[in-house]
Amino acid sequence: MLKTILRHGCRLRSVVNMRFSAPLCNNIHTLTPSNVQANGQIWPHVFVSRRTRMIDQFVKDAGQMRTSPPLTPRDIESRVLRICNEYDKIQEANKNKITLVTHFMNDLGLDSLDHVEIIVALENEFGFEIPDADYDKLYTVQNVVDYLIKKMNVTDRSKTTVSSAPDPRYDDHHH
Amino acid sequence: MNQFSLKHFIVRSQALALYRDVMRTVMKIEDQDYRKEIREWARSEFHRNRSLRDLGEIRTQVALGRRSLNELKLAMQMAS
Repeated sequence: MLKTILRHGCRLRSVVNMRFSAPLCNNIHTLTPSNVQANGQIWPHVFVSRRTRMIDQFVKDAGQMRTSPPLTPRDIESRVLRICNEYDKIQEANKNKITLVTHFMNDLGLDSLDHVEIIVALENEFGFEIPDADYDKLYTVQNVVDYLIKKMNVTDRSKTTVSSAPDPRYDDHHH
Repeated sequence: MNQFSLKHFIVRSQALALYRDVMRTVMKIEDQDYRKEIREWARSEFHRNRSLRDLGEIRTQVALGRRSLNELKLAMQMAS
């Protein structure tokens, strides 16, 4: 009976709810008094210490999602085009015709305020601030892509850092 | 002959810089509906005044805009 409790103990509700809290999941293998008192309830050490497959899988997925895939020039291109297409001031007719040679003002009929909005959206997408002086260089899609490639040091050869090998820390046969 | 002077050019850059700061701040708003609302408000304010040509008026509007932006930033800080 004790074996049943040990095997199925963690499938009780409170521990299942713990999978939605990432900090708690990261600590699940280290037992501290704060761990044991999860969700405002006190669980016996033995219940909390049992890894279940659900929590393992969750942590494994989270681990593999932690590293973002390296950027290639084509990634940057597609993201820039996506941001441009999502911009609400562009006419429907022009939306899917945006290419590398599109000029924001001449081809899409945007004005300087719209241009600012697009570049700010790109700043948001790529996560870094583009200095005010550089805005004047970014009037065509090609310029934007080249600028971003230069600023983010993106090379053509994409070195994959995310391999398909499973993370040995969360290997199943360590139960 | 270009009717816009260097001063106009400078004042225009200031207005665009203000718009840039407004948009960057707006991007930080979590609530999507509120973000849309503030962005539409900012757009309408700037578009309403786009035909101004008098330097004094433009500078006044830019200063008012700065003040509104500071109020917005304060409100966001207090909300978080």
